[in-house]
Amino acid sequence: MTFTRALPAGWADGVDAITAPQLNQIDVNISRALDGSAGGSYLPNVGITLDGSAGVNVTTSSRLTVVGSLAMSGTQTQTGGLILSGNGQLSQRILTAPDSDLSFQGARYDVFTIPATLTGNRTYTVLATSPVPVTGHMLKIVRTLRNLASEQATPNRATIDFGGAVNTDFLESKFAFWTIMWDGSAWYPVEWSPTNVDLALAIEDSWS
Amino acid sequence: MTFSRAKPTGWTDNVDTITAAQINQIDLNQSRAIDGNAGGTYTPSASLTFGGSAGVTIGASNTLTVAGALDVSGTETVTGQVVLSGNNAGIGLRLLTLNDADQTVQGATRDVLMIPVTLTANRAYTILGTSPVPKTGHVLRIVRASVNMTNTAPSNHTCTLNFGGTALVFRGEKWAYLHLMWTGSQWLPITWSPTTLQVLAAIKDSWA
Repeated sequence: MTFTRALPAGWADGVDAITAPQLNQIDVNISRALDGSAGGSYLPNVGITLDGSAGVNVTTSSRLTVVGSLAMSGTQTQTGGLILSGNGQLSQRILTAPDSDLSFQGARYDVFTIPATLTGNRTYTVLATSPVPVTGHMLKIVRTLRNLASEQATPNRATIDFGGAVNTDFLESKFAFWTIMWDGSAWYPVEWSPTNVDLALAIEDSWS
Repeated sequence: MTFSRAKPTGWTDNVDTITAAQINQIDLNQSRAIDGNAGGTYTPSASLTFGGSAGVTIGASNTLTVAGALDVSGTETVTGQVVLSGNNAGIGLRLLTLNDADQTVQGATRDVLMIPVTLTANRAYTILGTSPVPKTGHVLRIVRASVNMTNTAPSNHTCTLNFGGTALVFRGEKWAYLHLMWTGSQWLPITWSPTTLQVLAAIKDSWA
């Protein structure tokens, strides 16, 4: 808090007079305080920080409008809709694989891109320990190029190890993708490109 | 508001004196007010609630920083960018593991429907868009997969997906997925796994 009491000990009737500086201090402070009745615009020259655990509520009939930036380092829980409107965009975290084996934490990224050119067979291991992903976190793993039709990946395979008993390989010279989702305890495949030979029998004619 | 007037009827010159209790109340209240000029750090013992319909606005040159949690139960409209940054960022989706029984699900209430690997009979899953009506653009992923897709085959039972048009069927013993998007009036398939016999003709050789 920045406002202080004009007379910390308080006034007593018949004992303490109110001085002009005291009354002026009170008057100036009130003129600068946030008006909980009529609202208004404020231009504080330092930030307003609300600490403690009581929180701030904006009720159903009201609205919190952030024309500037919103910096979230806590958890945002959304029980209403989230609408991207106008030029609104969602920017994801991208990690480009090196031309070497790599272990990485899947919670830290949203897209993992594997270069078309690899000089040897590579193994990429997706971890979920530090931090543990939020349930429902999606990680897309893709080996691709901007021009898929005319260029091929080098004849070196990329093995994706995300905790199952069998690694999943992107075969040599092939473009491919996986999307895996953290289901709270394991990475669960939710999308895959057609087709890994290992999986061909399992997904062939999968629709009737 | 929790501050109240020290003298609700107001003072009149040469009529009303100010008592110690009154000036103490004024002084204490102002010392606890939020400073709209110098900002500051506050630890309210109860939450601050903004009611009415006027709302709260953070100006364009400013930043709303939330180090704690942000709970949004109204609609959040984003016209700026949402940037996932740092190791702890992530979007947690709403998952539902479907029953080994026919089941009806409101598609707006979930983001991912996971069909069990083991079904004891053919099952029909019905996706509704009525209560609540999904937001336009809401994407619902329906997937039959497992952590280890290559080793474990799903049971030989079909999964019929009813979402308002002609029902689509995941065949027995196959992994498959289908993504539906609410267009504003109906569910529209936007992504599907290879391959359904019924749609094979429509997508065969769809790339040049």
